[in-house]
Amino acid sequence: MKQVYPFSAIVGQDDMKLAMILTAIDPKIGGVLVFGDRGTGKSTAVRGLSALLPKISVVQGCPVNSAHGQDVPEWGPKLDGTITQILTPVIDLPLGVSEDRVTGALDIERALMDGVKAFQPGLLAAANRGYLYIDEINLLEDHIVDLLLDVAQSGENVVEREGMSIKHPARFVLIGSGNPEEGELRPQLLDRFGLSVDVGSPNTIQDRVSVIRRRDEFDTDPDAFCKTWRAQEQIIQGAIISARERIAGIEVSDDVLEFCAKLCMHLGSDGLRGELALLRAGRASAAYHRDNAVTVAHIHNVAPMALSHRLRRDPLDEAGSSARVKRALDAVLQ
Amino acid sequence: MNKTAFDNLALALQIAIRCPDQFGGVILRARAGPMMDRLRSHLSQNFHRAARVHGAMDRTALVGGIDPIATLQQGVLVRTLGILRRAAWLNIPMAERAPTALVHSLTSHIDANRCPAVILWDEGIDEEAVSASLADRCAFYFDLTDQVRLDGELCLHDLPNDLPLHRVQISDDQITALVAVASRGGITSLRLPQFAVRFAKLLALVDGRSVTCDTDIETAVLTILAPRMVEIPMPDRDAAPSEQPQPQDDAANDDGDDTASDDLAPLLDMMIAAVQANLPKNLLEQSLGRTGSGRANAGAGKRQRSNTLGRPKPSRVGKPGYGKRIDVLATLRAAAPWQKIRRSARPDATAKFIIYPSDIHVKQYEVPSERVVIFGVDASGSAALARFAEAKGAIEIMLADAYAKRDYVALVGFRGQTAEVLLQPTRSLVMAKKTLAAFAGGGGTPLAMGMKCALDMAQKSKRDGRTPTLAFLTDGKANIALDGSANRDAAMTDVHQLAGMTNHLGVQSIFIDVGRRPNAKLQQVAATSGLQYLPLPLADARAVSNVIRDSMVD
Repeated sequence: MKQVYPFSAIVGQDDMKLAMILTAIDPKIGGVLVFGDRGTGKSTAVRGLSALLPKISVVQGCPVNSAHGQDVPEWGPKLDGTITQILTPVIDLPLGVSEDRVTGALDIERALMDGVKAFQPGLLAAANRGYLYIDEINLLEDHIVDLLLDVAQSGENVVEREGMSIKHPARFVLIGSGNPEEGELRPQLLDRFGLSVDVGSPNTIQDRVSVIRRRDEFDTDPDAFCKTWRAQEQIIQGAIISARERIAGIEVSDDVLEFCAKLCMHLGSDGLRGELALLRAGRASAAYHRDNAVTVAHIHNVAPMALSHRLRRDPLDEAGSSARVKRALDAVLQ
Repeated sequence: MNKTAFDNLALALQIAIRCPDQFGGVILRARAGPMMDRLRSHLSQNFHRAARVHGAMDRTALVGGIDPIATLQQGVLVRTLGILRRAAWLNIPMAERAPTALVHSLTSHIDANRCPAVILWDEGIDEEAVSASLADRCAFYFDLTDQVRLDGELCLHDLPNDLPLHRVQISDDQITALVAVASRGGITSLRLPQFAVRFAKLLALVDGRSVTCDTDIETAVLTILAPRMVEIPMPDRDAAPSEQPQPQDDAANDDGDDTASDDLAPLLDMMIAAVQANLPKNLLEQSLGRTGSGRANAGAGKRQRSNTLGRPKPSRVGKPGYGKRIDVLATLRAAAPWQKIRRSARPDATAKFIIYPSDIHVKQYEVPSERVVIFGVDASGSAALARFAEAKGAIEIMLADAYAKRDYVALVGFRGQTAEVLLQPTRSLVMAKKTLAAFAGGGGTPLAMGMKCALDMAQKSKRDGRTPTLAFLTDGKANIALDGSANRDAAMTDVHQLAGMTNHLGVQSIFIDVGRRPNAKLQQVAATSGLQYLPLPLADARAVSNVIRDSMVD
């Protein structure tokens, strides 16, 4: 098997790595939006994450990666129900993709050959229980974006076309990346992402050199490189697994809830998605750090990534939105 | 172009095609001419299995899929391999106009190491350039626009059959020197230093060594990094204090690193000297366009104004003809479920596949009409600063809700003896803020120059398939003519002529008179040339953006 560049070997980019880990602990947080320069390891991180996460058990051959035999959709192939372990799926959504490739469509092969109306699942089916990665999401066609958001929200893909009426589960974590200089995202779309992080090129020579050197070591001998990093990978993997077990028991006090509400009100973020994302991210962060309750410190830590993309853009405010969130944090804490 | 550089060009082409997974591809910025012809024939003679990729190529052709025609003829499902699988290298002419979908298909395949080498011909003028995300994935960039002819032969290098790049050793100091010189040159991406490391290793291999030497590093810097630099690298150590930590602070915790940077100094200085000695002409000018606004211009906006191009929409039942094309796949899909019934209704039919007229689907495309508002802002005289601030404000307000309205905004400023493009059409607030941060006012009023500059941009936008609207914020007291002379009458005549030309070209224009009293002359010019005129002595950002929005064509 071809080796994937280890997640833990990525130099810096702590926010991005933390955001991805948090969604791995609690997929309900929603997607992650990664905005930043080219060549900063965005797609490397997504692919590395998949290799890092614990394997999931699926019914072999199931088009929607079902965990149990009874969940295999009836339109799928007939399976014997063998359970296998696979890596968490990471599906790439190419920019020029057509709608029927995303949602699935009539299986033309079987229609032509056997004259039967069969369903050919699309990318949404393949991404079920995994990640859907969209590079340059700000350039994606609007109708595809709308469709994705709808599915991501409902966790279900409904296909009504060519006389077919099919429903299948499509629960995935959306990871979008892009460069804000190439165009912006609609606020409605931004709001649907649980977390957003800005990434930049490392700005010290030492960091940049270590990026190049590690990549060079990886190219030279991928197996040896992955072996060196295996211990690191296992630490993160272990932390994620234990956090998943603990997350249900994490307590949230009223004070913390009030703090979240105050913060969101202060920032004037629309709707309640901000509070929810903030709370879920805070809880996942507490679980990851092996704490028993969410504290203001946890919220403080995740607030910029949970809220910075939900602010009303004020064209006359020069400060970046992360800075505004930090300002609001200070104001509310006083 | 000297002989070594030329040799490197030939080598670059050869190894890019040979190891696309290591080097991505080559960008050749050249205009049609003998140079291009020679390169083309060199490529076609020596490298086989090329595929030509053009912008209108659909996804099936690129990545493969069902071949509907062959499927129908043979009655069995026939799949085609996309050219990404078949070709050894891709020949992509006019790469600066490649649509986003194509660029993204290529970049995602390059990332997955499943793309043959891309040879991109960048025939762009001025700021037009290959999409930055694609350029970033190509190791080599050669600017041949000034090269009239080639001195020397393009020859093939005698490369060994096996190129074990991973067996070549490169020292830490050499890597550090590559990274440092790249970052001094303003290269932010980390892919390029990575390519430089690989190229240095390759040079060592070609030379039969298993360790890179400083000459390899130098050649890698000159070939890969120098053409992409946006700043002239300086050996000045004070400029980057973070790289020169105080020895006493650092010695304790980071011994190794400190000694490395001591050894590094001569190597780095040597690299920088080499780059400076071989600087490409007008380095800053070319490169700024490439990295700064490159993608913003070549972005999603380059739609063709044709019935058969644009964003594909779901196919509809309909009759072909009048420029409508049949969507074979959708038609087959519509007909497929009925085959059994139709066959039983017409057992004598000879066709393998029975299609009724009601099955026929035609392709539909939607060409979004993107609008671009070009502001021409008078930055002359005393009122300049306030006016300019309003224009900036209006631009940012328009951009803040630009996404929903699909508007681009551009800015031309004029003052003293010149007019210049300050902001290329963009939809990005980030971009606009960056560019607008500093622009001073003062001097004469070359209104005609400003109009000409804005009109040029309007015409370029039209060619790109956008609908331009011009908005001039001025007090109309033009005093510099087109030829640069300070002559009020000539200046006004030029303004008149340009206004007429604007109208003649069908570009929607509006004069916003921001003088303290309405300028009768300007009003007259507008009236006689059929342009809109609006006195707005207390123009504030919000009012300006509303006025322009109201006057825009939908």
